[in-house]
Amino acid sequence: MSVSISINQVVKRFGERMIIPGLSVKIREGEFFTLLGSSGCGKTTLLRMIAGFNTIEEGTIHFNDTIINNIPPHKRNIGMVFQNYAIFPHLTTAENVAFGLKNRKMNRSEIDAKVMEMLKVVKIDDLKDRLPSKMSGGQQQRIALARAIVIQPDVLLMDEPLSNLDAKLRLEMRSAIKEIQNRFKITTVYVTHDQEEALAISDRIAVMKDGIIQQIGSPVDIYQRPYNTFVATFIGQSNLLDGRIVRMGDELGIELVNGYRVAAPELNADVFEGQEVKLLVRPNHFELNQDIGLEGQVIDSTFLGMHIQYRIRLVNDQTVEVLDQDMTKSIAPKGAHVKLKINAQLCNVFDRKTEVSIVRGVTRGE
Amino acid sequence: MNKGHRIKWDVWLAITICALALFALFFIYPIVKIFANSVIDPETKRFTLEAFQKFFSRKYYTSTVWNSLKVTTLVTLLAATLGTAMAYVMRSIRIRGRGILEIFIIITVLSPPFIGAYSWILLLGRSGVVTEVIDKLFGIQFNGIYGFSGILLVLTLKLFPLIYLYVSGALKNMDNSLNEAAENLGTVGIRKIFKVVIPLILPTILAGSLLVFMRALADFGTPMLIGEGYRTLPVLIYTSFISEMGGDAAFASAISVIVVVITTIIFLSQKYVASRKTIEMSSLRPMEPKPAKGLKNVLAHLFVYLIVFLAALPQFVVIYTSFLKTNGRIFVQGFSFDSYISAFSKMGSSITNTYLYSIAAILIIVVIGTLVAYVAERKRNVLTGTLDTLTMIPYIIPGSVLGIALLTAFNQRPLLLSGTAFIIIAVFVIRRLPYTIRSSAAILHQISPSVEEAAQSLGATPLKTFRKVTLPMMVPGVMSGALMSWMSVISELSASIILYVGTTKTLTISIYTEVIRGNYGVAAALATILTATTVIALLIFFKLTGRKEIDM
Repeated sequence: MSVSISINQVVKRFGERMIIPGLSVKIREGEFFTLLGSSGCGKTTLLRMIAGFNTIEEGTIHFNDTIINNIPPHKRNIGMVFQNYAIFPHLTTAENVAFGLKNRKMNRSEIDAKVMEMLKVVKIDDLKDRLPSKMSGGQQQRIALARAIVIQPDVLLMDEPLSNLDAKLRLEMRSAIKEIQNRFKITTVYVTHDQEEALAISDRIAVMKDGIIQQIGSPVDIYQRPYNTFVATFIGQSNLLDGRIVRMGDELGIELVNGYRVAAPELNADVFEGQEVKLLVRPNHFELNQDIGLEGQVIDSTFLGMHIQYRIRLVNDQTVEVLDQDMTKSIAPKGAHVKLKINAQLCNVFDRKTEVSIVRGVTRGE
Repeated sequence: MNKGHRIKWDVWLAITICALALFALFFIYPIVKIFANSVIDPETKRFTLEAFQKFFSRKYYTSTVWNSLKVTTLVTLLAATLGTAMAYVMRSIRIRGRGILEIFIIITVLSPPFIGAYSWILLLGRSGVVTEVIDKLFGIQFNGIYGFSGILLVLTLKLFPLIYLYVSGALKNMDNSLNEAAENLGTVGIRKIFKVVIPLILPTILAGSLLVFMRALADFGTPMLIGEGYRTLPVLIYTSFISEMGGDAAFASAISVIVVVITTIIFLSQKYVASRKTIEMSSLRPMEPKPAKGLKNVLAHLFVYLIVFLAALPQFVVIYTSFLKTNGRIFVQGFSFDSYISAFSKMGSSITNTYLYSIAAILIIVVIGTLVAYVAERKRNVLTGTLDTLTMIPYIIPGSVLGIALLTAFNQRPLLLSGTAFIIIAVFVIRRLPYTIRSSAAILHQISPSVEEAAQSLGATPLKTFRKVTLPMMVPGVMSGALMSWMSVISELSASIILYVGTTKTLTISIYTEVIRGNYGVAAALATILTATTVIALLIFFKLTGRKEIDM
């Protein structure tokens, strides 16, 4: 049976160092929830607080209505998958998977049946009597996954489970994890620093920095409507251009370097003329042409088959990344003077001081 | 990661406290007592520095300090040079019969040092075999190698294998690309060795040298047999304690304190130097021994074989001697099992004692060592930290000092233990425990804590996790460490020689006393039994671990 997890104002310190200064989030029942952030942002610390391996200094964590702060790890009924697999090397594949069931006083035949079934789910039933030492990382991580799920945990916790695998295996395991989670509908908390992985796998993502959640939302929200410049630059490639709010007829617009003006997306009501802003432009939201737009000069170009990637120096010496998907044109040579048109409706605008989005309807999420 | 600096009441805390209590009673208390004895007048019970004054006022005593330091330092330097050179040659040049050579080297390390002394007396003593040849050949009166040169020869040949094993291990961890990079940049030959190889393995050489220094300084058997007039500190401790039993024990205590001060200084300075020179290496592609050609090949083989021959020679002499026909104490023509027959009839109990005590000691060492390593590594707090530090102190306490300490601490009621088997076992445990704790901790270090966390998340209690996961993963490493410890325990002499009584004699003590009595045949037979035991244990070790190398 899955549970919802409520985290209320939890605080974590290691000695004098504040890791998480009071964090609240509610993870829904059966949800695939990802904690995303660079190393040291507190995501693993939070995960280990849920698991019970880290103490909770202040605040509470609930599974449904039960406060779990003082329940020891072995009584929380969680399944955990670790970055380094943490397979028991002295036990065979089947014994590894059976380990948790044996702690639950089940009878032998029931255990065997469940183990076999689970090994089939993760597609390693042919390895059941082998010791893990000679297995590949992918196979070991499948054991770990099976071992964690077979106990029918209330919560499945995964700490960077794919980062020790090579690129090909990572993709394969990613879809295996997603598929299994969909099938068993276990509330899952997943920790990763890889934004692409987070986008691909999650129902919702919490982007963390310095122990604080910067934004919570669906992968689409996080990518398309980032709450602040940190999220904007952390997820996907981005160019941040300085600009100023100006009036363009009835609408508001943004004036960029050398006077180029673009129509703004729908902004908050309190936005005023002359407000200093930052415009987030994804590389594919530029359009390379000869007539209108930001003036720039090609520094270099990289042909990548599906598109061409340019680095272009603007007149204020800022360098921007541009993706040109129009393969009918020839590649602009190094040193060429070009103009960059911006499709500002797809772009995001942030106040330059607070670095928070001023696009209407964009929130931090919860 | 939760370092858990707070102390929680659980089974681990109970274990920590028990271990601390045991250690305090059987190690700290005796050592403190010996320190106290050195400055307290036994009759007036007042503070006095008389014992130290006595020591420092007579050249007869102070000269032993210089004697000890001189011979120990030189042994360490020679052993380090010889061991490093051997290791480098064996790792870089393909030597025929390398496997068998390494087994000889290992056996040399594991045999008691005084067996070397005694064999060299048979060879190069006043009436030694080689001495007689030299005398005849050159028509001179060679007096044999006693004193300084004797100790130097015996201890260097006995201890260089330690450095060899250490350095050989370090060279295995040196990626060959470092060698190739050096050569690629134009640094070759001797220059490469001194500019690249030596600096990289220097921490290892230092660590090995510390061990050699400690062993050489603390060695009692060798200077006692071959030292003659050349008095070293352990000999002085032993003679002044034995001859002054019941009299002025303060003096032996004072010398013990002086020795401990020296070993502490050496230990700390080695730690200081080593901490500033730590280099982490892990090799994907270790150095491969390559076949050498011509003169270089011949010289390399000559060097390696000569050194191993000299190092292993005492063992062969002992085995050969054990089969000589004897008439009383005199060897006569021909071979026989006489020595073995009288060894078993006279010394049977010392053989069973050796096995009994050493196995009991190893069981205790394994249990305590594993538990202490576990709490020190996984349950870090003030108490376990203290325990970890305390259990390292036996490193710097020479055997004879420990022997005297235990005897002074436990020779009266209610703690009357002297003369019992218990005290011998205790001394074995204390002397070997630091090594077992270190090696168990190293094994634990290799086991990721997340494996234990995985077990807990799957519903195993902390104790069950230890039993079902941690312990089974540690067992292979701990077992091979235990076998290693056992081999060194059965050759212990310097502490047990002080603690033994007639009924608690062990093999090494019997060998020693038989040599002193001039019963060379029986001594050789007993020594051969000891060597055979070691070889069998070593073969079991190789079989168990599938390895061809050992860690000390």
